[in-house]
Amino acid sequence: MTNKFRSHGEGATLVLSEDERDILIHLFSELAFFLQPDQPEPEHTDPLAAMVGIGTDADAPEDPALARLLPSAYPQDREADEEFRRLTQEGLRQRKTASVVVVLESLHTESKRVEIDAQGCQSWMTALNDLRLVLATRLGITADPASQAWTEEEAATDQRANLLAIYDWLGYLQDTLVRVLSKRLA
Amino acid sequence: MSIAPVELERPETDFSIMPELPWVTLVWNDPVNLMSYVAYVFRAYFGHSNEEADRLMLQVHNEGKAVVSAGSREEMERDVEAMHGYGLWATLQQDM
Repeated sequence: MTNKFRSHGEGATLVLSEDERDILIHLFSELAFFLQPDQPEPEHTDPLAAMVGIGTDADAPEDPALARLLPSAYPQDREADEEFRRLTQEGLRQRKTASVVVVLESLHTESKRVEIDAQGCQSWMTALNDLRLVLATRLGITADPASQAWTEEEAATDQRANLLAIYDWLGYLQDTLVRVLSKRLA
Repeated sequence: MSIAPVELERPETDFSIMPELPWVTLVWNDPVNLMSYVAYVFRAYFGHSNEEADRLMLQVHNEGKAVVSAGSREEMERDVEAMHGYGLWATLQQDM
């Protein structure tokens, strides 16, 4: 797989085979689903709070992959952590979901060439990163051995080998996009 | 000859006007985030030069963490939230 992001005007293009596009649509759809809160937020009594994305959810996610997407700002201070989560977690979740939606929209094209505008490039970059964070947790590529999701038996399976190949490919894709965007920062 | 103990006047410290200890934002190493991406985030968000962004990125990579910003608690919470938006593993704490 040698395709990469190429600079195009203020945005970028990416040529994908049908298989590659199907894989990306599948994975990003899963990510969008994964980012949804478990249960609907209780109705807000404060419409302003709802509008700016202040939630009532103050708990750290139990799923290790979700915990990596919504990490603790105050690992040593539970009270401060809960307050920070209450103020930011719902907004963060919404912004991450919005990026994934932008990516999915750009993938739904008849053309083999995916065209992405400047803002879309930012969405692609962070969504690719979030997707890699989730896959890495599932694959057990983590600094915390306790959260490894694979047993040794599973580790030898084709499924893991396939996921690893996809994970490497996503890293390659993300790196080519970062290079395109880095050139524009100077 | 004896010297009468001198009653030293205890200096009064008004703690209410002591400057608050600064807060810092820490970014922690993880095996997933690409080095190119981490350096990009430091340039794009903090406006660092290429060299400074690379220096901080390598510090995270080699030493496990780096202080990437310092200031008021509110400012650091903003930075941490932004880092979480980029998928970087960031925390804040009062600088010791």
